[in-house]
Amino acid sequence: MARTSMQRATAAPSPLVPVERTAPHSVLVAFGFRCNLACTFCMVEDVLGQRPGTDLATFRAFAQDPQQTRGIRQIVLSGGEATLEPELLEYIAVARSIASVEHVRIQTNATRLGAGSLLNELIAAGADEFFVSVHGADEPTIAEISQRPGSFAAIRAGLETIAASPARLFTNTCTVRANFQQLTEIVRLIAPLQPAGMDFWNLWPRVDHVAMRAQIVPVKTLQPHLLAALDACTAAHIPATVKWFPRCLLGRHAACQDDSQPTTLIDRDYWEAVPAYACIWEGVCAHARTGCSGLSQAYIETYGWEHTELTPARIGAAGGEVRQEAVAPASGSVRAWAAALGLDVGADLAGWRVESVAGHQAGLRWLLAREGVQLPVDVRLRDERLPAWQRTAHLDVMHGRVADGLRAEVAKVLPVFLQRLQPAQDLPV
Amino acid sequence: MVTGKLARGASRWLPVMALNGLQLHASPREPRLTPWPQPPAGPRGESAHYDYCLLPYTPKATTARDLASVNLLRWSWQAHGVLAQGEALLQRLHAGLGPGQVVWGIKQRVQQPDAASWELYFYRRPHNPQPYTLARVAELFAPLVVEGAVPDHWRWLMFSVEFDVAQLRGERPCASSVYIASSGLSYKLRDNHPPELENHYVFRDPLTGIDDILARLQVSVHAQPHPLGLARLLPPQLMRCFHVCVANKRQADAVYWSRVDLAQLQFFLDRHGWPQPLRAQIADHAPQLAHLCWDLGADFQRAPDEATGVGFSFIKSGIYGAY
Repeated sequence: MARTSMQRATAAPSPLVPVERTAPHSVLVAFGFRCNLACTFCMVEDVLGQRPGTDLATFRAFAQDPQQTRGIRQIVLSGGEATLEPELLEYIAVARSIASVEHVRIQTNATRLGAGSLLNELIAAGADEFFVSVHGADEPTIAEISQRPGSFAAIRAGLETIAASPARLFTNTCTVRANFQQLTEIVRLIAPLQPAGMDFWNLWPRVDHVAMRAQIVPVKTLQPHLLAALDACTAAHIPATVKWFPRCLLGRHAACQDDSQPTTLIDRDYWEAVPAYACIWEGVCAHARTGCSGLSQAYIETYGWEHTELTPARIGAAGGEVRQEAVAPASGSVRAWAAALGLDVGADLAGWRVESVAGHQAGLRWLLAREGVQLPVDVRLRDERLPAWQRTAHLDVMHGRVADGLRAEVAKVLPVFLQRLQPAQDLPV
Repeated sequence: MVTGKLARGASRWLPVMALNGLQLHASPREPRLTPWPQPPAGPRGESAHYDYCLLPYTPKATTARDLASVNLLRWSWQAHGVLAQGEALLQRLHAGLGPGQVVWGIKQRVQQPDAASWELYFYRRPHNPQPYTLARVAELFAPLVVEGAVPDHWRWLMFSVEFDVAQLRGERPCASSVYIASSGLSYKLRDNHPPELENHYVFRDPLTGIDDILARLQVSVHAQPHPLGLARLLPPQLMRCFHVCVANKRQADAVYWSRVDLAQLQFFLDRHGWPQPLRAQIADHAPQLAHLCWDLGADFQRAPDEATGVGFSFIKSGIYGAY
């Protein structure tokens, strides 16, 4: 039952070979484990100054292997504080050398970007996205978390400079005891900068396995503050993502929950301490099968399973009763794409009706319905390193668990679905 | 509170072992045991690996140096000074019943390292070479005395014989129990006494059967409705297992986990404070035991909340294997 939501990648033996991918379009390269802040919940605290991370030669070897890089659209460069890395411009260049890469993202605390010169260099080298850690809405909170008084002003300056640049701004807030009451304030701080997205990552206790620092907030305590922040994001038209918080507690914002992570190139040892996650309802909840990790073991040890607070999306007769809010509604272009294949909402497939088409993790999810039974069918870009029920030339297809009594009916509809999907060469995501 | 960090205790004492050598944890009174190798599969393709219900399982990747799970039983006997008696008993049973017929259990009282007992279980399974009875098993136990009888018309699934150090030394008769098929019920058997209802067991898949598991724990008179109580009874570290069993006993209730891996076994032994020598033996031989699945159980009993924090305490725990 215990799981890890990040997937393993390996830095040894070289060249790097990702074992699995959770977000097949994106690869995170971790290097330069140094930082000018000292956040109390840092995920890499134990390796700062201890590990080299993925060196440039190794990353270059990875980038030059077409088998490794096929389908990658985004490279995420991360540390430590990536902007402290002297070779960062070269990392960006290597990332841009991958033909399929559309975006190069820098994960940063932005404290060194306010002056603009470094930012301009990074953008000129090819970085076009900045994912900035913003863990508080005021100096006292940031100072408490970062343990570096005065850093709030530097972060804010960096945010404003990025917002004024051609690059896209994203933010990430780790939700902990020190800041959970000001999540909405953080949204209000960031919203005028028109970010392309805001992430809220509930504490991922990689370093503090036993919650000795008492930073974890009970989910029911955190819930109203998180929902209010997500409401504020919605009002400001800011796409939001929530990680490592139970999807069943997000209600109207459940579609925001996504625990997936990019394939990560990092020292193998890093994964030894990855926190395990579990949910008491894992076996009966549709969310668990669609990427909800549940609670960390550290959380469960501290606050219990929360079995009366969590509300599982009970799996129905076909094993695929998935709440609508768990997926993002499809855009018009997606609907048009699906319609061209005969797979748009309302289409009939051997007696099953397409009830919805929606973005789901790194692909699309169709919900097929028949006589009150739902069958989720997920489609993503083909990746033979991942399990799939069937593959077309370009896509992988998975479907939900099927109850014994419905196997015959499902056996009729899935081939029809697959046949209609065959002409598709890509996903409109 | 026992924490997750303590659960990773192996990493705390492995370096100590490395510094002090392999003899550190061996009893100064007894020589270091030569471990018994993993027995091969049976001549008719019978499995070499059985869980505590004597049902076959597929081991993890095997190697030529794999050890048998029964070595834990031998190490436990050695620690209590009854290795010779225990091994003699095992050999009689092996000779009389054939390989792969005996499920063994080691029971350890909490905070009483000397209070261990053992139980051997005999199942009615398709791979039994021939039908056997409690009477036949009692003959194999001789010169130890086994109390109780199982009439032929009882629909038994399994019977067992439990003993402690004194009983293994022949100082007292051993008690037996019988488990009735399809009932989940077990009865204690003693000479000149009627069968006495002992335990009731319910096995469930930890994923699909979680509602039933929770329902049974929620009606336990020993488990209080404390927010952390369920996390103590069902630690997330053990929930990736084949089956969870909830048992109602005469003076306690219990939870069992079947087919856990070696890391889970070590977590469990650490959490329940098992004697360090046995944990060290397991750590010494971890690579050679990693192919095995293990079965675990822990009895819990109502206790003052102020003493335990959750309204109950664990009073006994057990580990199980087959030989």
